[in-house]
Amino acid sequence: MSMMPKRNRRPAEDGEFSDPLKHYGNAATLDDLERRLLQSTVADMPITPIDTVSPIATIEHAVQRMAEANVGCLLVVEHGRLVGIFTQTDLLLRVVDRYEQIKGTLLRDVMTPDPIVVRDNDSPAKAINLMSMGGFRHIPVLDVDDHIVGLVGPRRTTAYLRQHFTRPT
Amino acid sequence: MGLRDDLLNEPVSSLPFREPIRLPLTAPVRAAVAAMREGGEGCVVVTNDHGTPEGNFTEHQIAGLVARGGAFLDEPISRHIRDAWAKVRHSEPITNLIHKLQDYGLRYVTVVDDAGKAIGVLGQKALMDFISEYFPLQVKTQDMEAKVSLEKREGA
Repeated sequence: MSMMPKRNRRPAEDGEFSDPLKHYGNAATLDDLERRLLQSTVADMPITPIDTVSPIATIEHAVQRMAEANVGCLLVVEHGRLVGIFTQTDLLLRVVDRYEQIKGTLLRDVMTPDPIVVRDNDSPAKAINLMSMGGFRHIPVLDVDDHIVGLVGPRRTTAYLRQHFTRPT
Repeated sequence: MGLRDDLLNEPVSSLPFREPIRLPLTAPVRAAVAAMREGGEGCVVVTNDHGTPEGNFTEHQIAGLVARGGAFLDEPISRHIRDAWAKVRHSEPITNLIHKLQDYGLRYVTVVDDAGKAIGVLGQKALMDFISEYFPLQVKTQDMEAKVSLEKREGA
């Protein structure tokens, strides 16, 4: 794998120099936000309450649960262990235009199995990097024993970031 | 400057936003579903006859419609666009995007140029992409690499 950092900004204009390592520094040069994102843990973030469902629940059941709880995703749990995740994106990609035909199908057939997770002692920076790299909006949080602790979601992540900024007047 | 200063000072236009998927108010929900799937986006910008954004239609609205049931796929999206939506000018600082996402409880904010024309859609993903640049690579890949390597057979 390339060791060059991924460029997530608009590319430099022709002739304009852009140093790909310009944000890399040692701990002494980190600002307070960078330090907090690196040195605190996911457990310090406002973790979204979780809503779980069985993999042998029907799609219809899951859709109703999401609507009732007004959540963007459900964690799919079997015998106390995380086995998958079902999100509004799964609904869009695999369900919506044939819902009436497949609403009795088991969730395990349309969920995303074995989702990427973070540990509760990982840094928020790691969670953000996983969101960026994988394109995930929601990442389950597990403890060292693989028990589900919660979910890092976009709204809570934004709220966490906003703690560092005063609102414009 | 560090991340905090950059979020305060860099304009929204430095984020990697893409061209929005635009649909007219009269387009059916079915067209929005197809466009979002094809474009790999969770949101379309709904515009009036002059190209001015009137609202957004997102995965969240679709999930609500599916739960409600009925034949909604051929209904016009104008019936279902989200009442609360927000736009941000391309020259505003990134912190304004953070505030708008949070204040309105939104996943996406429409980016407009100085004339008010929609030029992009930004959500948390772009924000996470921006922030992830500030941190070393080792936190970026280790879990996904581990998962991939476990699926490969090794040895005799």
